[in-house]
Amino acid sequence: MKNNEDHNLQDHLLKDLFRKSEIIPTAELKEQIMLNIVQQKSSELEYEPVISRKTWWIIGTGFISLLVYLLIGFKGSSGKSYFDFDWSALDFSESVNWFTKLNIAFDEVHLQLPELHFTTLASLSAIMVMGISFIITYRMKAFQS
Amino acid sequence: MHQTEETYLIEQILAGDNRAFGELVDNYQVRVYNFVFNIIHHEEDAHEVVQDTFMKVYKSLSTFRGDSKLSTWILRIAYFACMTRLRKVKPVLVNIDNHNSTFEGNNVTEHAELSDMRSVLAKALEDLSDNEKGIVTLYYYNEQSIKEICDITGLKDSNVKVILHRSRKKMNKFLRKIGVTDWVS
Repeated sequence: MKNNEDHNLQDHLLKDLFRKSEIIPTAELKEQIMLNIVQQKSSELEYEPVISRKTWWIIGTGFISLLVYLLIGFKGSSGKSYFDFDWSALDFSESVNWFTKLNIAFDEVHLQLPELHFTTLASLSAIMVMGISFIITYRMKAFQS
Repeated sequence: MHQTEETYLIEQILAGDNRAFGELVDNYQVRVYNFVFNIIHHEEDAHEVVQDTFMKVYKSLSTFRGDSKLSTWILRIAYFACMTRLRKVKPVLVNIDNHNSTFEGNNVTEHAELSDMRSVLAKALEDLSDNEKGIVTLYYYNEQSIKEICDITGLKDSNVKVILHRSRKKMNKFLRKIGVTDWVS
């Protein structure tokens, strides 16, 4: 019983001490908080990208599709593409210089653009340029954040 | 503050009303400031932590689901802001008598008494760890329940009780030593 009373008295004492020691912060604190909020809001409004995120995604997808198309579409005079190389030549179990083996595997696979109309080629080039700029912008944004 | 009033205030803030946020700051800044100051004991740092706290409150208010009281949620942000600050900067104790915040009392006697009270509190908190200071302030000053303290600090119920008991004991030992028990009765 006495312990309980002591406990309550201690609680009362501490509550009183905390309550009576309360500090009222200066008006500057609120001013600074509100200033920070206004600055935060204005910085959010300042950044309005000319090209929307959706457009960038379309451009990016186009760029990647073009890369894939070019990779598959490149064919040598013999009609070989990068995916037609000689797998059996890549046997690394034998101790022969593997650079030589890679050369054998890619034999007759040369960079040769497929025959395309000028307009198609121009649009593909434009997509490529935009794709590169997309990657640069994306990397820069990632770096900033 | 009533819950419906709080909900309305939150809606206003989320709609972009700065004055509503100002009202929220008015409602909580004293409680948050005292909580932070009792842990950090450095005026400038406390100001910065309180600013950071309200900035985080502003930014993440849309994520507040109302599972707890708004005050508990804000104090949780303040608690973690304090702990982050204390990890980065070693706290420097300042003389509480030189604290230049406005005092409630107008006459000289009351001012002196308040100053004494603050010195006593500062000394009583001196022997406590940062965590103990936070928990004891949450319990006695912010009037948070054990459950709410658990929500704020992320500690278990039993841990909070042990810390509270230990802190109470340390503080009372100090108060008894300087004979402060007299002012309550």
